[in-house]
Amino acid sequence: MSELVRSSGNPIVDRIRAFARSFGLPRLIIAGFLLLLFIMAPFVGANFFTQLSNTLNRFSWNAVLVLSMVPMIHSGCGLNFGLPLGIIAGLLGGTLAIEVGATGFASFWVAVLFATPFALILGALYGFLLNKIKGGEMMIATYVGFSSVSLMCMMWLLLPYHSPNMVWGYAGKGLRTTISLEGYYNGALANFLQINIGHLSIPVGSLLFFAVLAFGIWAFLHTKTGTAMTAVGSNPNFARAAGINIDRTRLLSVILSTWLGAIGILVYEQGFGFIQLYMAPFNMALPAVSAILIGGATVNKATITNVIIGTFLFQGIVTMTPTVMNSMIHMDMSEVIRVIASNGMIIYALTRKSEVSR
Amino acid sequence: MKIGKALLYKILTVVAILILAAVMMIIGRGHTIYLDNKTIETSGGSYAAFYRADIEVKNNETQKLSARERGAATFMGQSVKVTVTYMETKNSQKKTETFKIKVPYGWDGIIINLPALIKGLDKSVYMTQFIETPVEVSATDETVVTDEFAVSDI
Amino acid sequence: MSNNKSFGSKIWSLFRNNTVPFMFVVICAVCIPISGFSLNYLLAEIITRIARNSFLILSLLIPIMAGMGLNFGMTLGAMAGEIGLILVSDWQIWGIPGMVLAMIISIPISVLLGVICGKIMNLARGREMITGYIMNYFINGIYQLIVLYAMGAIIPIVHSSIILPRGYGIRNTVSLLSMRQSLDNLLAIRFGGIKIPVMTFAVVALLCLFIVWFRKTKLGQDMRAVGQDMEVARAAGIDVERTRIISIVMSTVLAGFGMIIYLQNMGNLSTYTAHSQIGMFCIAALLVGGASVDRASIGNVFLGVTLFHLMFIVAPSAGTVLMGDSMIGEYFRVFVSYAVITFALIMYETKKRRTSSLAGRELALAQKEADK
Repeated sequence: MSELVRSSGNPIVDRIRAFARSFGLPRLIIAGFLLLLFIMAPFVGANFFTQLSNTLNRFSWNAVLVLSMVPMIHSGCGLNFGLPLGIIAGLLGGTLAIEVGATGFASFWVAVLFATPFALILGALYGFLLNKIKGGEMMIATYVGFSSVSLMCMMWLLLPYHSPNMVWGYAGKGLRTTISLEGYYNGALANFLQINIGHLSIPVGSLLFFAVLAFGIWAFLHTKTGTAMTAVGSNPNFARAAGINIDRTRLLSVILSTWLGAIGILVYEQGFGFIQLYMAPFNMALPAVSAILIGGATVNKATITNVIIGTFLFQGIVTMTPTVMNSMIHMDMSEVIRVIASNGMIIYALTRKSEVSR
Repeated sequence: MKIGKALLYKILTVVAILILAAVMMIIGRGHTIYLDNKTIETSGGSYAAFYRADIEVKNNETQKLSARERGAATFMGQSVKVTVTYMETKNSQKKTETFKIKVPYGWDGIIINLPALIKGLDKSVYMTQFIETPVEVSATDETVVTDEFAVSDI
Repeated sequence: MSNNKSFGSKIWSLFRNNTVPFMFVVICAVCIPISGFSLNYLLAEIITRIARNSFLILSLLIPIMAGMGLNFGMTLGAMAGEIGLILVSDWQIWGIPGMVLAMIISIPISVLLGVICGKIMNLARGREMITGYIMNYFINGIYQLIVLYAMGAIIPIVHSSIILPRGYGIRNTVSLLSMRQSLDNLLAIRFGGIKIPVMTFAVVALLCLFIVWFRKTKLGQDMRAVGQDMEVARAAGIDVERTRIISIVMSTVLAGFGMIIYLQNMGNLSTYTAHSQIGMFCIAALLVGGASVDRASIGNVFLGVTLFHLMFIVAPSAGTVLMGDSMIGEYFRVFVSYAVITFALIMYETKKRRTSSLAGRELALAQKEADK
């Protein structure tokens, strides 16, 4: 954060003020709220380790989806409200893997393999479009996501899938709304190297997979292409002067984000145990967007740390609020609180002035 | 005093809207009126149900009631005009009487006992509140659907 | 020859500027015979839907005038209208007085939400649309907080037909039977089996007149100035922020009224879902009528509502005939709604970029001239 903080003469006060400023008040409130939930949990009879396991579990499902925000934010394309497009590539990969008869652990990798070309093609088209409409990315991304989801709703009915585990039994065609992954890649990563100590269970495989991807992105952002991407996002004029091909760099970031979205949904499915088709991808962009914002990202700045902190805070609230709230006041207001907190966070981020004028 | 005038207009507008709201609350209050052609026992004696009673309430259709029958009608506002054409016994003369009944604001349903009404008994005798017996809904709560993407007709 | 060519190019530019309406005419022309609906039925349906939706769509015009784009935040007004209707049906105020009272109740709520929305949009300048869109979800959360938890617990609701058995929160559907089509049936004319809701049309006409008049007022002129160029407007002494907030407030209040008119026709209120899609469908309808993000007229509203709803009616049955599955048609009409909005947004952004780069080039040229 490069905002200037007026000096008060006292270095410690300055430090705290600078920290609060850079961290943002809403973020502090959300972090404080989660901390309160964790403190309250034992008093209302919820086991701390069970809660922590749940949070970690959900973290492992969602982290890659949140990670997919990073490349596009870096290249200045804004928050990727078009995440459903990547998800569709992932869904195509997942369903095709089942269709060709891959089973068990291997089916996850087959799904990744099938999803990749779709993600690359869709991402390229999407990136090409976003280059045409610089400045209006977020709104158009939202509606590109919606249009593609509703187009795919028709496709799921029309595409010639045959696997009896996926199509409607009585009609013999058209995919079901939810497809069980039992026998396929259910828990493909989560059950790998899982650690169980008492109430605490850690899905090491999923976390490891995320760590590898996150490290990959981190390393990529430090290569020559990666730094060029950051330059395009933070100061396009400077980047142009430095001889960087802006359109190509943005295109690359969009393809990367879309691919991560496709992988992200596969990771989510292996944890959740089901493929959800039709209208399900519709509301998947907003939680991912708000998670990375809660983690401290802004509309044009995001790091891997933001992803980790944000996903943990967001999923912590999602898992903890129902349990704690229910036993405290016998009212399940968790859903409403989640909606208000996450969307409030997005609005907060949208109203911040971008640090670099573009 | 230009600012004062603008403020005055604003206050007047708000007051006018509030008055309009109050008027709407009075003329739009809906009631259901139930007209019972039933024998009524009071401390002052018993009043037998009529052999026939045709009732007409405001804009509703005429209803023909035999003894021990109940007619129902809905209306808006604080009072209602009820026209009753009745025969006390099978062979008696047809008589027509019109009543303008003022109803309490808070009552959704009002039961009017016709014999008591026509015999000119006290309001507290002929008018009673109709209290809806709560319908036993299944023990489980209705699950609230807040799906943002439900596609319905528009 | 040259005359002929210019005529051809005129047609071409007419087509290019109205791609979406032309596309819809084609879709409808193909789907109507396939769907097999009688003309009489279609006409009756269209008239109902024009009466039902026009008011809501008209509420979008004012923010477009002020250069704030498509007001995705109109849903806020719809929610305010719904709160009014819930209270009115609990108080048992029926018919037209019930509608009027619901509108009066919705005004302060709409104004409050509109001011909040306008202030936030002023902070997020240049991103008004996405901000308005997220505002929907945010305020929807607060709406749920009020309707699902506060009503019955804090706000008194007495009727068991409205409240959930648990004692607080409103049921999934609230019946509006007591005011169902009370506006539509007032002075309605029946014309060969087709009901024409004269009074509803009169109200819509009144709003059209208001908008035409409003454009000519000082405030309306200010709004157009702000929409043209914020900096120039500011230099001319217009309070830009205030003007923008007023335009959003007006739109929100009108959307609240529109929702009440819409719901009196439907006859029941889906408490938690009625408003969620309404913004999207209204915006899609307006765009189908040939409007764009920065330019919309009353004509666009009526052309749009006709074409869009024609498609909406015929798509499911045309889908059934063509594909043997009614769901295809249902998904198709949703897809078309989204695709139209996407297309219009893309057209707007590319046009904006083209004009800004053109202006930049002109500026560079002028500087070069000056340097000489």
